[in-house]
Amino acid sequence: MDISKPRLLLAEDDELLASLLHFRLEKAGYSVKLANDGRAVKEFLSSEIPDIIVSDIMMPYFSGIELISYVRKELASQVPIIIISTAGNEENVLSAFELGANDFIAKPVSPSELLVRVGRELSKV
Amino acid sequence: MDSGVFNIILEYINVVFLLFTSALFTVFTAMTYLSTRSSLHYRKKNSFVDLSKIMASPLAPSITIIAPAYNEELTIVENIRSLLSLKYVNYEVMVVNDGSKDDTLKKMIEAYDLVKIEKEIDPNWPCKPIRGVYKSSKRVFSKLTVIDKENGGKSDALNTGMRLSENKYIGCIDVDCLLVPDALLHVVKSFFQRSKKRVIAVGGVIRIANSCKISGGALEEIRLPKNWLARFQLLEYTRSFLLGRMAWGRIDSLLIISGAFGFFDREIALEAGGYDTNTVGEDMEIVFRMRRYMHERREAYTVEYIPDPLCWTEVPESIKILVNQRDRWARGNLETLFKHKDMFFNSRFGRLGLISYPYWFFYEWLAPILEFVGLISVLFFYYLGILNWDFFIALTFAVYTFSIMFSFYAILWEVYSYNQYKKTKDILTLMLFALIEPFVFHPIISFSAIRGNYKKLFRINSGWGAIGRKGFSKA
Amino acid sequence: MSLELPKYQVLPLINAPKIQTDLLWDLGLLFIGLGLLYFLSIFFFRNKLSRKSVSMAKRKKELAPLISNFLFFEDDSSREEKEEYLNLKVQVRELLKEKFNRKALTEILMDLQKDLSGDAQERIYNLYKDLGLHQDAFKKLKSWRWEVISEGILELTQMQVGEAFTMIRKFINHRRGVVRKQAQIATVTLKDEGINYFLDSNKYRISEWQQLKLLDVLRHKEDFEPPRFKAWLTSKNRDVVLFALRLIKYYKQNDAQASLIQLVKHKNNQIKSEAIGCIKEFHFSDAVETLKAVFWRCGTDVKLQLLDAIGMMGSKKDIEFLQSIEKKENNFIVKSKALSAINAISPESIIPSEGILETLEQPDEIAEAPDQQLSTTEDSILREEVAEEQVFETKLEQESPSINPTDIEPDPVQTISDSLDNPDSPDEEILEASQENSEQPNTQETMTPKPSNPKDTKEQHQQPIPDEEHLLDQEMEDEIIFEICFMEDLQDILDEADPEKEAAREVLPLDFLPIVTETDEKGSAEQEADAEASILKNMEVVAEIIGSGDVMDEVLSDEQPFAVREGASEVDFELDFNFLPFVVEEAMDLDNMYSEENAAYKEMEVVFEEITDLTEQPDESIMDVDWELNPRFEKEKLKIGDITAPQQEEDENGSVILEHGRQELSTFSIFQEFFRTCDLESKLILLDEIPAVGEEKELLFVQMLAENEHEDAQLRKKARKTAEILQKMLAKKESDATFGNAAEEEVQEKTLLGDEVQIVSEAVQSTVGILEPDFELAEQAEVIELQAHKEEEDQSDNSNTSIFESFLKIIDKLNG
Repeated sequence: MDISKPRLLLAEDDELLASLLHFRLEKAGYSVKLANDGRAVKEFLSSEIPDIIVSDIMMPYFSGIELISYVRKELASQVPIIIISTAGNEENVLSAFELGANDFIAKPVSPSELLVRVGRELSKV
Repeated sequence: MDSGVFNIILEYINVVFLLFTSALFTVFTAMTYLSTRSSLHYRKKNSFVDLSKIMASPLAPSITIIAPAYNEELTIVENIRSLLSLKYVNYEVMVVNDGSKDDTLKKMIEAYDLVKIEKEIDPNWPCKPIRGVYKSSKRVFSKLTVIDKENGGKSDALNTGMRLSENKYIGCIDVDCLLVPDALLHVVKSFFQRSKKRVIAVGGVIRIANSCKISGGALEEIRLPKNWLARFQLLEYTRSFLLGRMAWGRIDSLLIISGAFGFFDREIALEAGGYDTNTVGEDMEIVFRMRRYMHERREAYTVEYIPDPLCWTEVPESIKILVNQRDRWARGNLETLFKHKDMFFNSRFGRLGLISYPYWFFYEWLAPILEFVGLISVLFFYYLGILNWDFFIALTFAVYTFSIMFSFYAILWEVYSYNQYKKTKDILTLMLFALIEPFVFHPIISFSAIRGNYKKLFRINSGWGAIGRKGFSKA
Repeated sequence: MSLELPKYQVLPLINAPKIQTDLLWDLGLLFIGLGLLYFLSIFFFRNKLSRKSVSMAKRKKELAPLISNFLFFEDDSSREEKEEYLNLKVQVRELLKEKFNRKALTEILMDLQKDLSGDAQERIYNLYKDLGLHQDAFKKLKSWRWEVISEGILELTQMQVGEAFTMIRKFINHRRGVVRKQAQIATVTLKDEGINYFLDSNKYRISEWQQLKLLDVLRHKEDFEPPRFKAWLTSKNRDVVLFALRLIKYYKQNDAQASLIQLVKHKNNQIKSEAIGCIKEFHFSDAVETLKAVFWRCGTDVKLQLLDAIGMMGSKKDIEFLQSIEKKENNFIVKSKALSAINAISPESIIPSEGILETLEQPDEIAEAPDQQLSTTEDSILREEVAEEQVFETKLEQESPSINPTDIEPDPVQTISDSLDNPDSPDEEILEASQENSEQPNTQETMTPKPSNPKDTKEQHQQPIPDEEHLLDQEMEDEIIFEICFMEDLQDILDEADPEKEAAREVLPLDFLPIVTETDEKGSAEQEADAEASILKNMEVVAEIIGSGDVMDEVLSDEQPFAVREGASEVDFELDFNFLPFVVEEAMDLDNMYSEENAAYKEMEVVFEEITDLTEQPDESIMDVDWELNPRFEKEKLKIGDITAPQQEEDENGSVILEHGRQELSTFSIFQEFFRTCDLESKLILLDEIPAVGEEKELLFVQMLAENEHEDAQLRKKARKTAEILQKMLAKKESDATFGNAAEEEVQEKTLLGDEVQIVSEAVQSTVGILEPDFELAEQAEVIELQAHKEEEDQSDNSNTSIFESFLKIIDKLNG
């Protein structure tokens, strides 16, 4: 693995969208790990903490909300987290921010926008 | 006694049974046909509808979900949270605390930061007095309203909610039901998709949530109930909702909307008089009355039925509770039929009077009784040694095979349309239960019905058997 | 009952009929059989369903990376990536041959389209079309199963296939609700004018749900300029009025005060309450009197709304009225609302004791004659206007169901400009044209009935919507016509998809929009002057439009001055001519505009216009009238491209080719590898790609290809053209060596475009020699037809130099 590349964890249960975003992010120079459900996320996080996490808010077994509190509280990590939320789910977004999400992007996702947001969060670190 | 005449009477009894059975076969076959057509049509029509975009539309109507709560302290907080997270914008959750004796109200106030608000109440209030109206002080829970009132039963609680709501549609649900996130969108669609008729009510399937995995107020995994009684009920519900109501919906003669998931046009429901507080079968009675009201107003109307699995609930897992429940249903049925007896074969009410009512009368009410009479007479004839064995066995065989076939057909539709039980083992189990149902489950149901009728007809009072819930939060 | 019968009949009747026990056993067996059948079907379906979904999921998973690659392919990627991309492209073509793959791809794209936004979504739309998946959807429209049609419409809508507009539009009054609704959504989605068309021509009721969805489509449209919806407040369809009210409210169009106030008196509760809602929204305080007047005749809900509105807009003088309500009304909620309205008007008001007795009676008076209060002078003037208009409208309405040649009479110039302006199904088109006289052809204005405060609004609205039977009649007719037109259109679109023609299409993927947009700018005076001369011609055109079906041909055959029916090709030719005046009239001021000899020029002009347009107008809404009216036209144009290419090469570039060829003889092109393995179709596509990637070695390869006599004729032709484009590009590259990579990319693209333009223009310039390459394709009848064009073009060459000059100027511009 190229060390210079920022490591990104993408948690998204829609396989199609996940593979697409994966491709786009890789193309933009990130080293992307893909997790299709909450369990995979947890497993991955137990071995290493990436430079940034992009996670869907609705996922089986382990929702985005749970993910945030897991990372912030149990892992005590301040890794940037960007949440992908479905439109009309404002309450969830609010609680995501409360728990320590750094940014959010609404579905339908614009990959270009996602890139910009990811870039911005990484530059803050 | 003249044995010749006696024999003739005996034979006539046989003929009556035969005719009744054949009539049932015919009705059920027709139902199978109608529901098949209806389901196929529904599938084609709705296979590519994306509902979620609609939820924020400025034209989306307002809905109030009324959830009566009586001694629900264990589960109320979790249940409300689930109701508040539905995918819809313009809706209100109105929990009516029907004078609970436990800490239901306190739990709600604590969990949702409720504060009492001023609300002017009609001095001629027809329901039980209201103690207070509460709203949450947190914006996140702005959709929640809690009404605290004196105990008056489920119907009274629903009526209170209906009167205090200012929205176009009201939904009457059991507070412990689990609604899927899309539920309201489906309901709105059903209310709104007719252009020629006014949709006065929308009913839906009740699915059985026993043993399903539920977390955070959402259904995570659908599983076959582990309890044997729940399995029989699953089979029964599948038949009744997937085939029965679908067929009735097809000919626009739906007469019952489950109390656990029913939505009404508030204006019509109120004008028709709301729920009847004097019956235990209020959910059936209100549909009768609203239909009647529309017939009298001579307006084109319809009652819609949604076969998609939108509402999940737990069914009783002990015989005692089940018997109480069915007993209550039987009484409700009888009361409603009696109250609207002028509809019986009354062409003024169209199909309602000519098809639905008689069906309910003959099948839902009379069948268990007839069955009971049949059983008694068989025993009696056997005792007298004059039982026509040939006929008895042939009839039983035909009825049995028919019931199996019907159950299998229902399972077939379940598989074809939703296929929710993924394991082949589950399907086989269901089939096995279909085979033994007539000997195990059916007698229990018949017995409950007889008991209910007996109580009602001989004026024995009993309250509405409360179902002890395990509660979803535990699952 | 048997007891009443005479004695001798009793005994046989009393004896119960013999029960056929065997029958019961048989029945039981039958049930067992059926039960077994169901048992098997359960497992059959389970397997089938799961197998299907598993294999589909698997295929989707395989195809997903491919899609990602396509979607995020950037023009500035490295050469390796480009090669990889090309490789994929060939691979995909191969995959697309299988129906299952097409279905999977479509599903992937449909799914992704929902989850993506921004440029990625745009790319999905483009990819969908590039892969030709929309052809499948078009095929679905032809199906006899309504659910398939509906599926096709949905697909085309979701993927924003603008070309489908005219075709789908015809379904908006379909007999099947599902198809109808889907088509309505599509109509409104695919074009901004769709909503006008829908409101004008919708015959059915519009369910609430449908209104909700339609508004949703409008809401999510970017840069949408809503028309003035007040125009539809006079519609005969009650639901159209209702929907218009909602749209007025949503788009805050406060220019329909009088109509809105009038609609408060509508008998339908929904319309009433929507109108009140609008009045409240726009704060029309003039309406208060009307609101008061209708109050007592309304139901509770409307009363509450009225009180809300009065409370908001009322003045002190309305308090009396509110107090009377408080006294007379029985309903508690209404009462308290009245009180709160009083408080809203003047918070500290003390109820005055005098005057209460009078007001007690007032409500009854109002209830009796509420309408009288409304007559102002303004109203009456408006009423007259409306009355006139209504007469006109109803006349039109009566004419609408049947189309006969006499309907076509009114001003033909207008007819045509209109039909271009506003592509409608034939019958509608003519009607609209006649409805509108020679005002400027602004779609929005002209299509809609005039808004006003109609005296008869009420009556008019109360007229029942045409009852089922009547509707059915109309429908039947509509459907017949529609069927005919539709099938023709569709055939043409599908023909386009033929592999042979695809190559041609790739050369000039252009379209016709500008014709429409430029209508207004050209002098209408001139049009009028020409009108008389062209009247016959235009009749023809109209005949063409209507008569695309055989039925109509028969009707019209008497009137067709040019009735040509000898040979197929000739007929085609003739029809093209019939069509031409359209273009000419709209496009430019030229001499001899309508002379037949100019035919070829006019076509060229269209092509030219497309090209100019292409730079600004990407893909959306390209498709317009012409497509529908004369699909052959486009094919014609494409052929020109094909044929002229080699011509140019021979004329100018022969020597250059040789030069380059010698220089780089030993290099090896990656394309060679591809060519060895792929089929003709893929090769053609590859040729398209070469210029974008190509270097000298590719040039050599392409030239070799062009000269290889064993290759397919089509391929060779294309190769020649590619070679020449590539050559130009390389030349440019050398000269602009200072440019950065990205800039170069752009230039290349422009050059590409320019080249194509040039090819076309040169084709026109050259005279007799142009026909030579045609011999390769001479076996095709259509080509012969084209030659005829060319010949005519030659003859008229001299008389039309001006158009060429301007044409070439633009081309130069494009070339930078």
